[in-house]
Amino acid sequence: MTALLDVSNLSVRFPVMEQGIFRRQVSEMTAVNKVSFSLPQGGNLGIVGESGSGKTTLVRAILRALDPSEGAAIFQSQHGAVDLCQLNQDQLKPLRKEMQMIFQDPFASLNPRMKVGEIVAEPLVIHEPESAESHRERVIDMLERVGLDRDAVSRFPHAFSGGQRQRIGIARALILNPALVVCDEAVSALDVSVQAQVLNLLKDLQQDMNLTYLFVAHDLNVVRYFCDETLVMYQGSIVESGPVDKLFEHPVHDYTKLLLSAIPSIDPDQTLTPLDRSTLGLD
Amino acid sequence: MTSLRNQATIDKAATAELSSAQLTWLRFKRHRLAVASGMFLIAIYFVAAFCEFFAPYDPSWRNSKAIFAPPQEIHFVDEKGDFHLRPFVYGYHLHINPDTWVREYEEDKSQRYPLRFFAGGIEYEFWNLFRANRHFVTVEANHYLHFFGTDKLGRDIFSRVIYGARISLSLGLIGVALTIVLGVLIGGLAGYLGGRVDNLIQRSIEVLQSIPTLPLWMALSAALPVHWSPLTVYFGIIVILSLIQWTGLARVVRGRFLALREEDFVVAARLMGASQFRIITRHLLPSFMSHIITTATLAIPGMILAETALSFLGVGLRSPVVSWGVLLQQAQNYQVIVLTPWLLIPGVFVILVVIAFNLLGDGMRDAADPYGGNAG
Amino acid sequence: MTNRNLVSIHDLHVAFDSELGTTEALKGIDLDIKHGRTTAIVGESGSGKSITALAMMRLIQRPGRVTSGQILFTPAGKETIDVLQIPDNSDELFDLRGGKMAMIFQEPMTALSPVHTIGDQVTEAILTHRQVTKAEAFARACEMLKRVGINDAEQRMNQYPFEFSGGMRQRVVIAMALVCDPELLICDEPTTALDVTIQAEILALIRELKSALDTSVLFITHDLAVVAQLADDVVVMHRGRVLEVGTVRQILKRPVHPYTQALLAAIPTPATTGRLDTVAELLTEENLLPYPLVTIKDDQKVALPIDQIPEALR
Repeated sequence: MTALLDVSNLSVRFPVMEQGIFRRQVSEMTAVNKVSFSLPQGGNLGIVGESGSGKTTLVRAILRALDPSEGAAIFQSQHGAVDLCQLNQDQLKPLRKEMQMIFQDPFASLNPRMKVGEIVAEPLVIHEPESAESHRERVIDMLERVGLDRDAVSRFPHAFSGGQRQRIGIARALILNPALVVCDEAVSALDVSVQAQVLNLLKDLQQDMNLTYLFVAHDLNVVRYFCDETLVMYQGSIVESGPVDKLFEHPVHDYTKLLLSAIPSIDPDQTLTPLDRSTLGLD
Repeated sequence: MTSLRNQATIDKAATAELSSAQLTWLRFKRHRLAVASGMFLIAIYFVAAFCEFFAPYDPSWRNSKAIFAPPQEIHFVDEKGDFHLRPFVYGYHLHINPDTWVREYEEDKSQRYPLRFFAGGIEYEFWNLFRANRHFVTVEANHYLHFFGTDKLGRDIFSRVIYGARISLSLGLIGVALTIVLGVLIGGLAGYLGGRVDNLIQRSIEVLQSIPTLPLWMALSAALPVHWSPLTVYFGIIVILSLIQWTGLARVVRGRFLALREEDFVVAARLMGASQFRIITRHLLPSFMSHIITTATLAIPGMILAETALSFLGVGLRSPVVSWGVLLQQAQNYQVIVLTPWLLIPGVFVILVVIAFNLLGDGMRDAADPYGGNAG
Repeated sequence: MTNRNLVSIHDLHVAFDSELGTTEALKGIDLDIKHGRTTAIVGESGSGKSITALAMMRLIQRPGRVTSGQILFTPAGKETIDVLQIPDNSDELFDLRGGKMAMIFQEPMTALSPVHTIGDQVTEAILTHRQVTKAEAFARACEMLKRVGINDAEQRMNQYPFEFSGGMRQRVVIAMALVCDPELLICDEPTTALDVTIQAEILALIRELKSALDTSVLFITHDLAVVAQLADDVVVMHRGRVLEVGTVRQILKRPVHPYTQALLAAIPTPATTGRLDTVAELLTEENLLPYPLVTIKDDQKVALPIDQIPEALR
């Protein structure tokens, strides 16, 4: 299988500004450090790491919500391979319909002042304004595919529960039939029961629509269940990567071992015995 | 505490198709004081808009028989104890105190002036459209009616307060409208572009805000050419006040812009490929419209007070224009408080309007922002 | 279990008023917190688990109100009091809240003042509830901060909350809560905002402090794995009602109520393959009808009609 996305040596650095009136740049903070990975068509790649590890910055840089400092992200678009890092926002616009994102917070990611119908239709309005008369039909079709009623169209987001809102966010991300979908902690804010439903939905849609997922999460059990391969990020770098079963059963890097040892078991007889950061030489 | 919020709104079916504006209205309606203030303001703006009709007299008309006359009382029962369905006022009986030479008025019970509603009176030109002579309340032609008394030239203060309302209140509205345009434009620019532009605008605002406002107003007003017509001066004053007041709003707008730019739903729109124009008009502006309206409401009384202060000091509007500040000019010495306290009545209206705007603005803020910004 | 009841809640109702009418957030809660044990209330958002804790602390504020019920609290060597009958703003309520019962929240930053040093804040917590000198309070604060695993406590007492990491802040909040030896420590999702490695540390800390300080703990969470690691007794709540009560092994290994069973099935574990079972698929509205709690084998309680309970357990 060919790689849908091939990232090599991607770094993101933020300028650190001096305080005061003339804010000169005094140094740089490296959020993502020379990250390389490859995501095959139809694959399901997890990115795990703790807060501050740079996982969200990495995916936002790939989608060009922020600008990477160096490196390349080769994306196999419908019109051939392009390096996302080399394009400006105007050149990116036609590519946006092929890559979409599902956000963590189902409350903050939907505009509270727009009706659900308008929210889900917005990508259509932007990319296919010429087919306006079919939008409503396509929106209703998409809402039904993610398990929502057609009545949802005329309601506002505040009328929906967290899980339902996340379905609205999924419908918006998928309505243009993208190839790559980035899930940025897409199930982290959801209740356990709802989380299972959304994970199932994402799996079903992957089958039906031939999607490729880049799945950012901090819940290791979810990543193990959902993904084929995973990257472990620590302080901006990938410390370990591999197929989930191998990585979870036989971790090599100390940080991966630490992370795995901290997962509480659902069995009360398996007492949690986390490894100690300092003895592993991690700070 | 999120679960608390969820609990409070479990039954969402009833509100499902209400927009956030409608929900805001539901919450606003529970603020009794704000609703009452809103109604008071609507009433007073209505009167100001139709002041020719509501004022019994022209503001420059002089009653030479009643100089410094005190307010007349409205009666229903006459001196014989007979009840009259039509309220009436008594005429004045003037005598000059032989010791102090002060004019003293008493009610002349022999002259009973019944009030007449929607009757003909002094002719006026309504909004430069047509001539009319109907007034809301008046008395017969050779009688006179001074609810709030008269000033040193015998002009009716009640009529002058009503005419002054038109100038003072409209000045507040137009001034704030101009402030919003300036504040949103400049603040939005700073927030959206960020970086150097933001830095420059921020520093300029700081400089502007550090100049003491009163001397600045006075200097700018003094610079208005003397030969300007009253209308031009009126707009000149509005521009001066707005030029100084926009800074506060610009800061609010900038802050909201910066916060909103990082909101997930705005990032989502960017990742969808939405144009800058679309992001601003569809996502950013609607999200802080309620904020702007509230801030503006709270800024109107500042405008009105500023105009009053300027005119009171004699550097704002000048006679023959009638504004509340101009009216208060007559109350600049302590004699007024002792001898003719009714000249202070325009000040009462300034206070009432300012309080009403503040209460209304508070109510709107609470209704629009129940959880501190996130309209979830 | 022979432990006495420290807190006993009977038929607690809490309602919230909104523009659109009144909503019942708690629809008659019955639960016991046994002395010396860790009781976990587990439930999803909207279950009323946090509201139960807030009601115990008398922290329900408008538009919410307690409509009926009893919260009986029996401190060691004292008479039983009904927390709901204590007058507002009384010394008794002040002594209860922060003195006999202490609460820690999900977000440690909200519990700490950004403009005071850690040392001042912990010392202040002692001085408001105990008649001690400032020096004694300071020494006690220092000792407590060491207990919760803050190294160089003497130096760090002069630092401000922003100089602490999220996990360290939660440790400070725990120290502040425990500094007056409360009989009951209420933890409302204290690890939800933390990374998994920090969560593991905090869980170990709470477990260790509980046995060392002889405090009872009420732990509120949505995470069954955290419950498994920490709780002795578990109360399962859903939409303002208690559905099942039992020991941690009863609830996690032998759940009787279909909702509890469904919750457990919905969590992906290393063994899970294929589709996840979802609560919606495993549960019918009939399972959730307001049946009264019945006591079954081994003191386990479940809100089901008796004929729906397996015979072996009745």
